[in-house]
Amino acid sequence: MIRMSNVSKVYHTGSITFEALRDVNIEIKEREYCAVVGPSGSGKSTLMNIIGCLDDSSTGEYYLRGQKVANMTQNQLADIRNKTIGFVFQSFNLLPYATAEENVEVPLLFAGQSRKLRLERCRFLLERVGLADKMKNRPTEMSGGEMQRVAVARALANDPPLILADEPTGNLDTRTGGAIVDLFNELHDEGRTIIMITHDPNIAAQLPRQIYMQDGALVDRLRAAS
Amino acid sequence: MSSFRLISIRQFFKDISRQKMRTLLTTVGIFWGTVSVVLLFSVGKGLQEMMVTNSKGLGDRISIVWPGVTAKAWNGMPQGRRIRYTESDVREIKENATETISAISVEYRSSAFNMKFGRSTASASISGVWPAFGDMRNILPQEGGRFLNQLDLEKKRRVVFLGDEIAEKLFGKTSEIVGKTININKVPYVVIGVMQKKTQNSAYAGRDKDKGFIPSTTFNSMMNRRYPSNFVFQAKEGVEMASAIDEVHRVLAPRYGYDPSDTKALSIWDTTKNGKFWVNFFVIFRSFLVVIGCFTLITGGIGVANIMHVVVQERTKEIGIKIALGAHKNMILMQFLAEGTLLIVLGGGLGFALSYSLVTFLPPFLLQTAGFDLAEFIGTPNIDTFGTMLTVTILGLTAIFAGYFPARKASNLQPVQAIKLF
Ligand SMILES: Nc1ncnc2c1ncn2[C@@H]1O[C@H](COP(=O)(O)OP(=O)(O)OP(=O)(O)O)[C@@H](O)[C@H]1O
Ligand SMILES: [Mg+2]
Repeated sequence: MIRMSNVSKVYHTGSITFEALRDVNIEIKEREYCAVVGPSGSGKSTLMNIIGCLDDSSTGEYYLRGQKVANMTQNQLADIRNKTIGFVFQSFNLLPYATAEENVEVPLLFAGQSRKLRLERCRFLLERVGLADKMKNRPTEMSGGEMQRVAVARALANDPPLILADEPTGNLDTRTGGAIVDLFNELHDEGRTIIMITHDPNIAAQLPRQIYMQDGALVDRLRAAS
Repeated sequence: MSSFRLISIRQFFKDISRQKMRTLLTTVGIFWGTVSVVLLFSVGKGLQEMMVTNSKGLGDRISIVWPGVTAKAWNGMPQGRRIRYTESDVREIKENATETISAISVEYRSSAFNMKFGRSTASASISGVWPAFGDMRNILPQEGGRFLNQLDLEKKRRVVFLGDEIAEKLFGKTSEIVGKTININKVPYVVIGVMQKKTQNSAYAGRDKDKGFIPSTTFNSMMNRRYPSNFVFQAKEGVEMASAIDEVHRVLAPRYGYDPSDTKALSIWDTTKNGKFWVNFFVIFRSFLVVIGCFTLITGGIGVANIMHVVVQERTKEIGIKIALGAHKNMILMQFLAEGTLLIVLGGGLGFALSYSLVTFLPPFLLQTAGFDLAEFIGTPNIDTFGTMLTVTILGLTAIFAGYFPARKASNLQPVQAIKLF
C-alpha cells in the first residue's frame, strides 16, 4: 500500500533550516493497522501529511499503491485525497460555517454524488459515529469530541480503503476515546488499512504494529524518559 | 458536473449570509461606481446633445451677410467705401455660385409692426424673405401649415408665416390658426403656417418664435426698400464654408469694384464657427468627464479589490481544507469566479437600474411636481451605453481578478500549508 524510501522534509524558516523528517524508509501493507508513536515535534504529523498527499517531501520517493506520488498530476492527487484516503486531522479542520451534515457532505460533493445519495450517506455516517441528533449543529455548537467524530465521519464519506488519523483520541476522555478506537477497530475489520498517530501508550499497545519516531527519524524503540 | 455549480451557488449564498458586511461593501462599491460613472456620462451626453440641437436652431451650415466697408484700396479707389448689395445681386449669386451654395435668401426686416387679430394685438418684427429661407434657417411649419412658396413670392401674396410665440399671443392656445386673417399695420394677411417650437441658442435681431415672415416681394410693395437688410445662404453639404464665402465675393467684387480678398467688404457671420466651438468644447468636456470617471472607477476598483483580497485571505484555510478533501483546483477557482460574477451582476445591475430610473423618471417627475424643466439647464440625460458597459466591465474584472489570483495562489499551495496559513 505504502512504500517510502529515504524521504526527508526540510523546513526553511527565514535563514534557519529544520529537518522535520530524516531519511524515512517504511513499508505498510494493505490491511495493516499501525500506531505512530513519538514525542511532540518528532515529525509524526509531517510524515502523516506526506502519506496523505497533503504535503510533498523534500527528497526521497513515495509510492502509494505502486504509483509514484511525485509523478501524479494535481487532479489525480485530488481524486486520491477524495476517494482513496480518509484523513482525520489533529485539529479537525471542519468548515466553520457548515453544519455537521454539510461538513460530511463536502467530499461527496467533490466526488459528484447525487443529492439523494449524499444525504443518505451523511445520515448513515453520522449515526455510525453517534451524532444522529447533532446533524444540524455547526462546529461552534459542538464539543471537541463531537467535532472529532464529525471529522471521522467525513473521512469515511467516500468509503476510502486507507484511513489516516492524526491523534483521533487526543481531545477525548478515556471512555469516548475508547469508543473511537472501537470504531477504528471495526473499520479495520471491514478491510481498511489504518494508520493512527497516538500519544496514548495503551492504545498504541493494542494495535498490531507500532512505528516509533524520534527527531524526525524512525527508531526501533523509544529512548526512555524523553 | 452539476454538482460543481451546485456547490458554488450554495457556497455563494452561505457566504452572503456569513459575511453580510463584505458582500454588502463589495456590492456597494460596484453599485456606487456604476451609478456615478453612468450618471456622469448620461448628463454629459445630454448636455452635448442639447448644445448640438440648440446650435442648429439658427440653421445648419449657414452664413448671414450684411453690408460692409472695404478695408483695402482697389483699382485706384480708396478703402473705407461702403458696399451694399441689391436683391438682384443676391439672385446673381444664386445663379452663379451653384458649386458651393445650396440655398440662399434675401431678408428685409423691420420691427414694430402692429399685428391684430380680433381684440388681441402684438408688436412684432417682420422679415420679407424667399421660400428657401424656411428650411435653411430651421423654420419648419407645424402640421397643417406651410412656409412661404414661390407662388406667394411671384404673386406678392399677402400671406404670413408666424413664429410660435407671436401666434400664441394673437390666437391663444389653439391649433386653428392657419387660414385665419390677421391685420398687419391695418392690412389683412392670411396666416399660412405656424413655426414648430424649437430651441435656438443664437440669433440676430430677435428669436424666430417672435417674428412673422412674409414674401420679400410683398414686403417691398409695402416698405419699398432698395437694399435688403441682409441675406442668408447655406453651404452645400461637404463644402467648406470658406469656399462658399469666397464664391460670394467672386460674384460681388467685380460688380462693386472691391478686392475679392477684402474680408471687410461684407460683414459676414459664419455660424458654423459656433458649431466648431461647441465641438472643441465637448472634446474637452468629455475628456474631463472621462478623467473624473476614471478616478471614480479606480477608487471603486481599489475598494472592491481590497475586499476581495481580504476574502481570499480569510478563505485560504477553507481552500486548503477543500483541496485536502479532494476538490480540483478548477472547482475552487470556478467558485471564486462565480462569486465575483454574481457580485458584479448584483452591484452593476442595481447601479444601472438606479441610474436608468433616475435618468428616465427624474426629469418628468420634477417637471410635473415642481414645474422645473431640467432639460432647459442640462438637456435630457441620455444613458451612454458604451460608458456603462465599460464601467461595469472594469469594476467587474477588478473584482474577479482580485478574487481569482489570490485564490489561485492559495489553491497552488500544498493543502497543509494553506490550512496552516491562517
Ligand atoms: N511549516 C513548518 N515550518 C517550519 N517548521 C515546521 C513546520 N511544520 C512543522 N514544523 C516543525 O517540524 C517538526 C515536526 O512537526 P510535526 O507537526 O510533524 O510534529 P508532531 O510529531 O506531529 O508533534 P505533535 O505530537 O505535537 O503533533 C516540529 O518541530 C515543527 O516545529
Ligand atoms: Mg502532530
